[in-house]
Amino acid sequence: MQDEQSLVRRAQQLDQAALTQLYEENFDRIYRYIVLKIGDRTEAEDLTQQVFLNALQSIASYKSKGLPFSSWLYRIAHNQIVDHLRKVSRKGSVPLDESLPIPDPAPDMEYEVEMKFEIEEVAMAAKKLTKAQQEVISLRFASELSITECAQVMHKSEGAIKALQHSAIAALRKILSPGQMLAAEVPEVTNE
Amino acid sequence: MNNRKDKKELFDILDEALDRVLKGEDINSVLAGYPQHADELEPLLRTAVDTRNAASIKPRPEFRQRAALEFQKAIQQMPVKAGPAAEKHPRGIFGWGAAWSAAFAVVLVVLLSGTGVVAAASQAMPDNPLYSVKLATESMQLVFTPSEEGKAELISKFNDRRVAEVVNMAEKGMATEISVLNARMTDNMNRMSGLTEGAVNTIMDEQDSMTMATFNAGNAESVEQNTALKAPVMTTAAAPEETYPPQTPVPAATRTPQATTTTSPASTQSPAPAGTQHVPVVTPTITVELPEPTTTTIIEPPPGASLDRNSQNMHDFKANGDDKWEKLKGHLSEKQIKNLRALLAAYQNASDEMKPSILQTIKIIVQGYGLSYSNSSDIFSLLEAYGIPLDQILN
Repeated sequence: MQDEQSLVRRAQQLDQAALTQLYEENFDRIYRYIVLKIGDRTEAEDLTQQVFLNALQSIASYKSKGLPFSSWLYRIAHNQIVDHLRKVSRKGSVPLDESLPIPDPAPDMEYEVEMKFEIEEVAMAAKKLTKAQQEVISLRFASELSITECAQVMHKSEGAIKALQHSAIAALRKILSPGQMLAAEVPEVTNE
Repeated sequence: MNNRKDKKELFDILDEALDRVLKGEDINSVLAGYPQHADELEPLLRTAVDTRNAASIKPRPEFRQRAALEFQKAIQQMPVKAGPAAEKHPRGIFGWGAAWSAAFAVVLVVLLSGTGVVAAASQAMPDNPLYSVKLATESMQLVFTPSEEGKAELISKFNDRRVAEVVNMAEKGMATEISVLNARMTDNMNRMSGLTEGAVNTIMDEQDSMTMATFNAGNAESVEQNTALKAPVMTTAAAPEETYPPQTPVPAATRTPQATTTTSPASTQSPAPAGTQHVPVVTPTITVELPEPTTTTIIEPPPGASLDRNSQNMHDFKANGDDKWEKLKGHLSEKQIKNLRALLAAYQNASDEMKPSILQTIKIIVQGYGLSYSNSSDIFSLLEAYGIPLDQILN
């Protein structure tokens, strides 16, 4: 944490190397987090870019408060996603969890790992979870944060995160099992 | 109570098992460690692994590179932190304002000249601490080169260095650094095109001035006076094998504006975050001697040149201006092809992740120098030989 604090301080002085390092360290994780949250890779690209541009504009006002720098970025990403989803719903777009065909895989499949599920399937399934469950899934599996880091980002205890992790995985299992796609038995809950 | 305790235990076990699986341990061997919970754990672990695998996507390399470039541009456009009177202007070296960067660069290079550091810095790559000294030296060289053609020559030389740095960064897998270099090269290209256009115009204008003055004056004395007009030409240094400047220190300083050292008005600045350093506003006392112009050449008429406007000699004399432009074009064309070859070789050897970044550099080299500088068929042939579609480069 001490090293990160020093790095962030330099970044706040607009040290190009420090800013670039923070960018490099967090870029992929933020991208995956957003993709899993909204299920659209193209939109996720725009949002990811905007997260870092917003962070750059506000970095002078960033205060650690004992939390890792990434938790601030995830907060920015979260807000970006909320704004995006608001705009999408205002436009009257059909939400992703309606009965839409699963999007075609991205043309650059060569860059992706051989997987059992497509990211879009997981994103659609995740929309059936509670907001907190979605957040844990995104942070643990897309961004590969530890329980401790998730707890810091979500301002919850580690015990609460573990409980959420369990319930989220159990719910996903039901949704993603064969024949259960888009017909989840898990009740839709909107409160965290 | 028992249930809650059991649940908590299950949550802890799941997390523990999950950590091991996500780190690569085989699910069956992990489950063997929890025989009482194996039936419940197994489907959860498999779902978790499948979810993690699905989410392990990477951003498209093209997007990653574009985003990195935009981010670096945004950094450059951030206002410099200074006193309350500071106006917004682009950041300079070390994050200072451009004016202070230039002054500091002069101090730094003058102090370091003769110590071998400046010479050592000339070899530095972007991941080397001395790289900023290298850039500072280049800035100084530009400042002290008065002619447009000289500046264009210098900038094209700096671009050669940037290409070598791109190749080096590609070998090290440092895509972000390449994005920064690409941004610098784009700026250089824009500056160079303005300068070379100016250089061509200068050559042509001065050539015209000389011929007209010669016609009007109609005597040898006028010819002598008028050829003293310095019609500058590009120093056509051989396409260098080395891409670094000669190992000479920057000229020592002899004349300067006097200056005093002042500190920033601390009382009007908001306190810096703990642990940061205050950067005082310092006007260094330096002396600067403008070096002799390096690219000035007097065009003399051929011996025995007739002043008759219809004479063959005068025709040849005027044609010299056209020759100079052709030499300028030829010089840049050689550089373009040389740089393109180096980049194409790097592209061929690069990992898939690095290829888009290098492709962007290739684009800059092809478009920046302009196809008109070189035999475009050479460029097309080279690209084709390396399997790079033209439309990827020209669009």
